[in-house]
Amino acid sequence: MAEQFIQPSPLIIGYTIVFLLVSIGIGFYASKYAKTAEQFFGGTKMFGGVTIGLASMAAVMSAFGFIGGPGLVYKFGMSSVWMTIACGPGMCYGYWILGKRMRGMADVTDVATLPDIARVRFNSQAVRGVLAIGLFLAAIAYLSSQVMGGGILMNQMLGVSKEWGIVIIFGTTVAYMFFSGMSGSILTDAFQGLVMLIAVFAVIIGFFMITGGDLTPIQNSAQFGPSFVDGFGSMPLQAALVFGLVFFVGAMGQPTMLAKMYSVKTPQDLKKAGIVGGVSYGVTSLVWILCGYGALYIVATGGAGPLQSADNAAFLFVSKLSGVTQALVMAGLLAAIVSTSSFFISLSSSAITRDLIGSFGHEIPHDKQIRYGQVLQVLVPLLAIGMGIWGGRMVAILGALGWGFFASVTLPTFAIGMLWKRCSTEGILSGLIFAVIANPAYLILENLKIFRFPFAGYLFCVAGAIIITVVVSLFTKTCAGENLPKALKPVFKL
Amino acid sequence: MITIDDKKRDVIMVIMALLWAFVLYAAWSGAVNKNPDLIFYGFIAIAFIVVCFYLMGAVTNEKMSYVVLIYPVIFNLVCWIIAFIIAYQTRGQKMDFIWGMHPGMFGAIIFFWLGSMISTALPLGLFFDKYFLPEGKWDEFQKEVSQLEKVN
Repeated sequence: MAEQFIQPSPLIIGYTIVFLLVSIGIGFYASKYAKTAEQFFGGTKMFGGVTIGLASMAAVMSAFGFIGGPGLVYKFGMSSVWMTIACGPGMCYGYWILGKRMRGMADVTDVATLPDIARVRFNSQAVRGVLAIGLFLAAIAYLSSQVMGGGILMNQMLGVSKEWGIVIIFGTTVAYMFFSGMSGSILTDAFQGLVMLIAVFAVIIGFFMITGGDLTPIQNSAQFGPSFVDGFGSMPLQAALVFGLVFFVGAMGQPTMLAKMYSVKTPQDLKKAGIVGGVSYGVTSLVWILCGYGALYIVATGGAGPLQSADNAAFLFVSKLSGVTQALVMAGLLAAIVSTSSFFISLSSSAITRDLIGSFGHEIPHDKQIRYGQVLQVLVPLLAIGMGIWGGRMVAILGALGWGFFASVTLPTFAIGMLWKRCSTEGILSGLIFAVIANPAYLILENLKIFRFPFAGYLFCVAGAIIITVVVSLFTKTCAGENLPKALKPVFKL
Repeated sequence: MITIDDKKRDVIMVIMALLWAFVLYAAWSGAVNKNPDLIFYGFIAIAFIVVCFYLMGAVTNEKMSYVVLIYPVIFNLVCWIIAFIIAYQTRGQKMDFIWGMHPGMFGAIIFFWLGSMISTALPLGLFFDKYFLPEGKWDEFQKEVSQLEKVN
């Protein structure tokens, strides 16, 4: 990295070491909760609402939110902010719309993974298999995109090389995931969520100390101007349209959210989980907004020269804070990366161990699933690290997947499948196949400069998958309407 | 109470699919033909997509209370439309700030962000026991499930 804003200090190094050791400790402690495949892969029906709410927030708010988000604000003003201000309330909305039905499924069948629910709802191994492939691809994409961010962050925090930074971050995560799986991920995510919330308060104080709460200098700056502070930002107008929709409605399609809905111990915990998750995410959105606008203010008022890389906006802002505040914010950034990574390591390993293999009719015995899952929890991060470091253009393609990919495979399957009795197996299979093909296809076409949508391409994938699912369902009947599996009828009365 | 039975749900789902198609058209055609008004109508459409999901999900046994319909469903719709109108009308203009924010940013933050929070998190707390999961509903559900064979 050409621009170095943070110098490793004893305080930052100390915070980092304590953070990593506490995470490992919690992960080991959680191993006592991971005795069955359902507990190891799903943490099913095990945790209270506050833990689940904090864990949801921590898993959704990734390095992209804490580092990429401020960079986008620096580059485009308010445009990208629509993503984060849509997502927080979208999480509460998801609990309103889907929470009790997802939790209800855990009483109807043995749930450890999202494809488990899809298989039972649509009585189809094909749906389970295609969904597992979609989730695995998107999870690997997410993980790969965290690799370099993690390396750069550790480089800034500890002064180690990026390669060693990656080893430290992923080594720590695998160490506690190995024994406790998703149960460990949820408990450590809750702790890491708290660390992120502390970081937010440090950011708020820092922002008002630097800017005085007035963004007028950005509007008056010749370099930036009104489009950096207005409601839609300097990206084309349709960008905010796509972000507002896909990040609000799409929040309830994120596995980080959906999988938590059946992890709550009692259905009453859905209330606290929804409120804590949504509100705490809303609070952490302030990092995205304030770090970005703080950096813009600093450059607009001549406190620093224009950034060579927009991704350094968060680091520029943090560099202007005091030592303790810096350490708190950097620990929050680290928490954002580790919490997201742990969830996706668990998700991708379960997608293969339990769902993809199972969809071919070879169910691994439950007692052996954990062992295979542990092996995959080591292999998956290695694959992600390899792709993150040496993947080149493929990583650029995969990195752009993620949120939109998840939304396009899970919204039809769960938001439509669990809300609409008439949603049929043929409908969902058509929508899923479209999503799994269309997502990588549009990215490859864009990357090779053959074709480009005039908006974020995942809108096409999400909208297409939903429209296809609805239309095909209107003309087919398997597992739909009166053919709905009998055991599921009580769920549709919730 | 409004009854949203299977037939009405079919209609809502078709309307929602049409709204998604319109958003796609508005984003695409609006961008290609440089027609921001069309994109603005796309914004209005996404507010109605949110309403459709509310009508499908914020119900208990196919019933939705009028209270829930007014708040949060219509309340959220109104907040979003106000936010989009303010942000659209003021975009790119140099203006006096409100509370340290450009009026467009103010509209987005107060009406979209805060408005959405008030219409999602708050009602979840206020109405959980009355409309989301009324007392006895879960016991009734579990009793019904226990009478059926568990799916493996």
